[in-house]
Amino acid sequence: MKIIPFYKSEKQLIKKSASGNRDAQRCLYEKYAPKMLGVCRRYIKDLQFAEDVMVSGFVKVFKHLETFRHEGSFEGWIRQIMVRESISYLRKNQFVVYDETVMEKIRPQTTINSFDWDTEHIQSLIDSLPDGYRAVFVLYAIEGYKHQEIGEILDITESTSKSQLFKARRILQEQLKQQNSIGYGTE
Amino acid sequence: MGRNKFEKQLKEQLQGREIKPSEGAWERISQQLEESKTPKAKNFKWYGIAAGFIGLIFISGLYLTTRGLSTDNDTQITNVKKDSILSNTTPEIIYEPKIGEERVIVDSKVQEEESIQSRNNQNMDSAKMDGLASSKEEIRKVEKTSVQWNTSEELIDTKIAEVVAQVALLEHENSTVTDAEIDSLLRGAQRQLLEDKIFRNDRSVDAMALLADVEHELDTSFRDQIFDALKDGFLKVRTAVADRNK
Repeated sequence: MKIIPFYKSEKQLIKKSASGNRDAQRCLYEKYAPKMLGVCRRYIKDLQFAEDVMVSGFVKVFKHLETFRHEGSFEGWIRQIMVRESISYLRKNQFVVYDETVMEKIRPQTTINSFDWDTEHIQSLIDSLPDGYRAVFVLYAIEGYKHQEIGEILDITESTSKSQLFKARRILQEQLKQQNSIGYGTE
Repeated sequence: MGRNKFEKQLKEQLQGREIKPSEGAWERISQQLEESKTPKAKNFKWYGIAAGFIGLIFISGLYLTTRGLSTDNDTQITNVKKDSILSNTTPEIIYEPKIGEERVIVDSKVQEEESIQSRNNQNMDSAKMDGLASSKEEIRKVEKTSVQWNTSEELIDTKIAEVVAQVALLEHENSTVTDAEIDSLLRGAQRQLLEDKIFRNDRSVDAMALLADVEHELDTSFRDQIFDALKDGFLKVRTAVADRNK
């Protein structure tokens, strides 16, 4: 079903949606839902559960739309809600971030300058990470949060966030090494 | 630990990733929004507004009612100043029912003080006044008596005339009139006078007249006071002697 875009600006669309206009809400949903499902999918391996989280995230978006002050990007605001909703889902499902303050001795890392993998392949790599590592890695490397912010979101210390990121990177490097050796027959 | 080139490339690829949701996703959102749309909140708002209006009406009604009652009893009492006392006129008791004005009672003490001050300013009359009353209490007594008796001199005269006429009529009918009959006629006239003073035309009670009447009754004579003191002293002595003999 195609929605006719009769609202001139996004601001107008947001205002209509905030007043409870279902058509305007649907317009916003159609515009942002695919991107937001992508966001949720980064944290949650199962696409069905990721969609559940996205649905509850959109319900929250429409319920609290009047609190949006049009000061920053609307997409960024929705994305924040989706990220927090995903983390909340992980918490409910016994997601644990071990509070490790002692970082392991940094070993020299293999630097991978470029790759030619499709998005699904990258996603499968990230999915292979344990929940705690994956959340920290995605928040830091993909969403661009700082360790302090990650600590607040996940309710962990800043050093734990750093430690988790370090471990996530090491696992990814191991996997990349294996795939390179299989792919190229080297090492 | 900065972001390396690999992570930057990951970010670019993943941030642009879009996954089309299933067909039923919007329906679920719409359904949840419908469910969460609580009419209770709106109802509470309207209930609040309605309750506010009712409260306002109630308070205004109560206010108007109390004001209506107070306007019925709006009384402005002003006591007669020294000049009026000297000129042998009665203190004015003014009843002015005015809508929208609160009851104003002029404090008699203040008026008395004012009257004293004005008395001091007037040389000729002050000498006479000093002879009559040298203190506030004396002035009050003068006012009381004037309130009590001087207001109704004309009434008394008319009553006396009535009693005399009745006695004359009885003498004419019975040729002899006993003292008891004259006493009963006088008592009846006195009661009538008292009622006239205490009750106003609208059958409400004149508080000042009533007070003056009661206070007059309360005044004990010097002789009574002496007897009371002697009685108390005797009882004390008797008790002391009885206790000592025990």
